[in-house]
Amino acid sequence: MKRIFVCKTGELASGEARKVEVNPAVAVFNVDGVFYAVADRCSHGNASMSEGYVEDDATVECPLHAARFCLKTGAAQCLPATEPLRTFPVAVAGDELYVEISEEVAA
Amino acid sequence: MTRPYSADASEVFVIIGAGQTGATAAAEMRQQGFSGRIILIGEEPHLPYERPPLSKDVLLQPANTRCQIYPDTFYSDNAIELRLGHRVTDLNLTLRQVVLANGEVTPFDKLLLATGSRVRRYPLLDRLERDVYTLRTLDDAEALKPVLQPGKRILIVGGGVIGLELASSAVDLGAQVQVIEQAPRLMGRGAPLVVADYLQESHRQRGVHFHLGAGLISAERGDGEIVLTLDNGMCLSGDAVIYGIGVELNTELASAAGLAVDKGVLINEHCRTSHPSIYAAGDVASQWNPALEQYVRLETWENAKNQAIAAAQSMVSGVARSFEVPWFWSDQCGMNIQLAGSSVAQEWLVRGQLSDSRFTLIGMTDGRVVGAVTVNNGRDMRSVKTLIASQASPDRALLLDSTKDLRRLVC
Ligand SMILES: Cc1cc2nc3c(=O)[nH]c(=O)nc-3n(C[C@H](O)[C@H](O)[C@H](O)COP(=O)(O)OP(=O)(O)OC[C@H]3O[C@@H](n4cnc5c(N)ncnc54)[C@H](O)[C@@H]3O)c2cc1C
Ligand code: FES
Repeated sequence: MKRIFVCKTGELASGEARKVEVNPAVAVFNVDGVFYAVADRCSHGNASMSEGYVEDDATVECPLHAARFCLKTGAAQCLPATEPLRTFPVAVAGDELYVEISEEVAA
Repeated sequence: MTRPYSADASEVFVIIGAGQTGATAAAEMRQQGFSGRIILIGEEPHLPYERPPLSKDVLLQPANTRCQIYPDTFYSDNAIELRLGHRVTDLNLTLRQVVLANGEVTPFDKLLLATGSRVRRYPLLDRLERDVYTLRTLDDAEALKPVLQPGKRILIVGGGVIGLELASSAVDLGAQVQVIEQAPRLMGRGAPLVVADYLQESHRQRGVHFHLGAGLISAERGDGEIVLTLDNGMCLSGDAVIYGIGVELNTELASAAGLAVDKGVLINEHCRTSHPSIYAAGDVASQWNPALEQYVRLETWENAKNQAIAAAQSMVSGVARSFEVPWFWSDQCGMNIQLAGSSVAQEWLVRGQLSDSRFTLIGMTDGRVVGAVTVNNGRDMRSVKTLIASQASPDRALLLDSTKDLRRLVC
């Protein structure tokens, strides 16, 4: 497991997202003070979920063709996507936000 | 488990057409708890697939593009009976049955027409017989792959969305592209002029030559090439012609069965046709919109999906979802363009700069938001759709301030 620094918790406001440039990239979200991390690339195509529209119910809408994903489970909730997004654990240490990526993914 | 709407497992729903509409409707019927038989009949041999990638990723990145709507096992998992590679030749309302081209007869209790549309033919070009292409199906896209090659000279007839997306993909694949359009501008049907001009300039910078306001007089095969003569006297030669001049609706079954058809198959708010057991949705359907007091027909992916869901809900439980703001996207020149609401407005406000790689246009009529276009700015789309739906009249200065999140105007 690799722990990657995202930003200070105060730098990611609620409803906002941040792309973490690991390979493949991860998108980290703040929904009402709860942080989530999912694969940044949409399972439908070449879109960055960090540029998506974050809903209060902890879902994100793809900026390209509006597929919606659950940030908790990564599940695709509507077409055109049917495949889930991979989810990643997040960790807060003091005022620092981290995402945890298994070696196998980060390879 | 209780199934309040349809407990009768012997009830049979038949769907004609296994495209976006047919597949989405079948899935939604199960989602709604329908426990009877669902038979999805489609003329094409493939499992239901999305058409939008055909002009883009299917050509550009064939290796890692899947355009199938649902995974292979989805249909058997959900007990959706597929009859692919079969054309329905007769819809009999009295006997409540459909007849397939092979003579097979399938009775139904309720039926959904999801027959969509097909390419409008251009006889002048079809007469060339070889080196002339159109794009509607996966097989059409496969046929285009060997044509869109480096150095090939491609003549595209029709400056609508499909023509432009093909122009973009052809350039990406190294071909030389000329676009011929009869109207004086591009995308005349669905996009405001500012957007059409913006796209034209983007394509031009990528090497596409445009011939606007130019009609075709003749198409001939010369010395190993095709020569098109335009009504302005120009002759254009190329290795292949691709045309996209619109679609024709597959309404023949509905007309022959005596259903009300006026361009599209007419449906009410609940996606029901003039016959109480027959429904229609997608490209083929023209739906009564009570707010606009007119029939509206849309040829978009989202309409296919939403109307399919509404039709399925209506077939299962008699009630359907309400209307949404029309929305579609086009991906070309490496840009994602999304259009919502009306493409006609008194004025288009620019949020951001047209010279930037991302911006949003907001269409205003009588002080209200009536339409919007985002260029590489899909995140604004949800908010502007809400503004359009609520006919909002927000403060101009706030709309124009691209440093402010549009979401704040909405809630
Ligand atoms: C190349 C291309 C790119 C596109 N890009 C976009 C885009 O970027 N964004 C967007 O919003 N929209 C786009 N669209 C439009 C969108 O794909 C259509 O609106 C959508 O496919 C309509 O779905 P449908 O199921 O109603 O009809 P169709 O997709 O036409 O499907 C109807 C199906 O019914 C079958 N059928 C017809 N008659 C019979 C019969 N008698 N018996 C059996 N089967 C029958 C047909 O073979 C077909 O498979 C694009 C379309 C094309 C062709
Ligand atoms: S790329 Fe995300 S929905 Fe198409």
